[in-house]
Amino acid sequence: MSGSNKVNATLVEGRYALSFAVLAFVTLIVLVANVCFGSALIPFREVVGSLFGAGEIDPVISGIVLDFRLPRALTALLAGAALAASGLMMQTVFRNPLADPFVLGVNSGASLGVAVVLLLLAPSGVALTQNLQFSGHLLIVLAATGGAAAVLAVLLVLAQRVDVMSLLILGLMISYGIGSLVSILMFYSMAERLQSFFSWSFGNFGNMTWSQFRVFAPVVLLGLSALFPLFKILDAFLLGERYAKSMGVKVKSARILILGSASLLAGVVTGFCGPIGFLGIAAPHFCRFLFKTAEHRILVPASMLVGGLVALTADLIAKAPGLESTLPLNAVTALIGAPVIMAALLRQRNLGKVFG
Amino acid sequence: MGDGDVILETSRLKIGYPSRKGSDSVVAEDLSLSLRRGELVCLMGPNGAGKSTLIRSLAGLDDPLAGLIELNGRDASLMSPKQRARLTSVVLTDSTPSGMFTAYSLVALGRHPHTRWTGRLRNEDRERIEWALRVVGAEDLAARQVGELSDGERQKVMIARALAQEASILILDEPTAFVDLPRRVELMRILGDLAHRVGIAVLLSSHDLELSLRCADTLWIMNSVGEIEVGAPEDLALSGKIGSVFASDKIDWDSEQGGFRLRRETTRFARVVGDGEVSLWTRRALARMGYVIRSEGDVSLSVTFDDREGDVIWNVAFLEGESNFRTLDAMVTWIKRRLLKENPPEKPDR
Repeated sequence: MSGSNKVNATLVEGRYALSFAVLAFVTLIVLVANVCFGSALIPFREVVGSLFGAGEIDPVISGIVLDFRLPRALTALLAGAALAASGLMMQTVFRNPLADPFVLGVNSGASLGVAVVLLLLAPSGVALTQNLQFSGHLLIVLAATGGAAAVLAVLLVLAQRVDVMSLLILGLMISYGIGSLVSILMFYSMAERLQSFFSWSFGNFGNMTWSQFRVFAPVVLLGLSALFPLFKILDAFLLGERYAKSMGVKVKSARILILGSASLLAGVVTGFCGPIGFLGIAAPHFCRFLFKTAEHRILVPASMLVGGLVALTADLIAKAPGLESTLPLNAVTALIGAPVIMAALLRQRNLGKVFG
Repeated sequence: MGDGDVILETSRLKIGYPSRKGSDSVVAEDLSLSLRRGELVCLMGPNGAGKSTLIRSLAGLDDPLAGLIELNGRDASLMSPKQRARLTSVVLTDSTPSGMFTAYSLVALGRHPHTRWTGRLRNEDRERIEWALRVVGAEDLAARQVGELSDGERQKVMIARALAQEASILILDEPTAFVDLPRRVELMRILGDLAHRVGIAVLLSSHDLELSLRCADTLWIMNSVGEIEVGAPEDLALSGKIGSVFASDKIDWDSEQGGFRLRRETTRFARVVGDGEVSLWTRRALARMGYVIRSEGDVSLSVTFDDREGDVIWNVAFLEGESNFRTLDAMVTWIKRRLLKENPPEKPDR
């Protein structure tokens, strides 16, 4: 029995490695495609030339590739990975297949921050450039991140006092409460202000400048690397907090660490890119379906890859290469994400029972 | 077994729920209990007595309000969760995940306190997992999805998970609930073997008094105010302590039969002459109709039987006469009909 199990284990590990290799390869292709295609048609040779500084390239074209497309594609990759990993952690800790990175109200905190800046401060005379692309955008990033951080702080204080199911409900209630504040602000706002709030709420990877990326990337990478020591603890959480405790997990501090890093990842992404829905739910489910396992040492890296892949694909579609206009990113993620979850559920009916 | 085998010992333990406003709700206090290696202990008590609270406190899942729990002679409250997990493992009534989990991977979770940070299994981990599955008789289930298992099979897998944890104490909260009788007996046999052959201490709470009386080395009987009587099942039965905890205005403890008896409002007495197997089941049939069996004094009917190598003829004697029967069913039907004639059922008011 021992021998055959060892053979089986090696087979399974081999299958995992193959799946990872395929996923990584596809992600790389989509990453390259994302840099190659956009509203301006740039030949592949000139894209490569711009990236590696080879040959005589028109400075306008190399500017588009290096200062717009490259940071945008890298942002999509990192943001997708962050949201997917964050969603996976929320689903595990709350033992709920519908939990997503925003289940605790982090995105509504961010949207309140942005609403306050765009709808309240700007009309009452706070200096804001009319064009929100550059210096104005930094203010929005700060407001969104600040709002998310405030909600996160409240939740971490609550997390020490109540059990995990109460925390889930508290998070939902905080979301609703803040959402209603935002809609009151919207109710009293002028149409042009609402327009800029809406365009934030559709999500966008394209507002990232290199100077912002130098803040965004390290924070996300730090948050993602914080997950690697948590694999085993996340596995134990699958049986519920009592069993986790009986297996030697310091449940309360682990819960705060996991929820803290998950919300940090979601909050930073929301701050820089707006609230991007569906990735956080869809990517972990797709990985469970793909790898047929609940082990986090597989699911965490797989979700990161799939999250990045889906974000890059959605962004590519949203850019609508060759067409005059663009699509709202959130609409595209939902259009890709919903069928993926539905297909996975129909093929693998017990997906909903992942958490007992 | 001497005192040297004690692995868990409590002194002046007080359990319950802490309250922020100062007055804790106390479930039980002043508990001095001990568990020995190689011992199967059944914790019994009426609903609401606090069995689950005691189980969780001893397992380290809830903090006691006061008092001391010593594991291997060391204060458990000073141990890290990991140290404790290497000494105590649990099977709870909490729901278990059923999707994307094979029985093997569920059992593998039990290796948590022994593996390194990735949770990757080494050969010794795999050997322990396979041993655990084998000991509970679940090696055939290893590749099955947990969601497809029956309640009894899932419980075996959960016990295997606890065993994979390699702890010396196994604590189970109602492991035989939701499981049918043959599976319940099998689970108890497995748990008894774990105690007696593997040498770990097994503590389980149960509502199944009859099975616990037959299997346990020691009973902890918890009454409704949280006091615990400890002893061998037979001693507790003889001293009437089991009866005093469980008996109510509806049931009585019958020490001679080793079971409970429904109490009836009207008392009818009967006598059964003879002994052995036939006598036992004849008494049971009469008790079912509300007769109290006594060997002396006035009785309203008297049963004798003639056992000729399996062909039994029962003779029932009343004041007014007697009658013979070839089955207990025929006897019961006949007596019931007579009783109905004597006391016609009340007609519901219109």
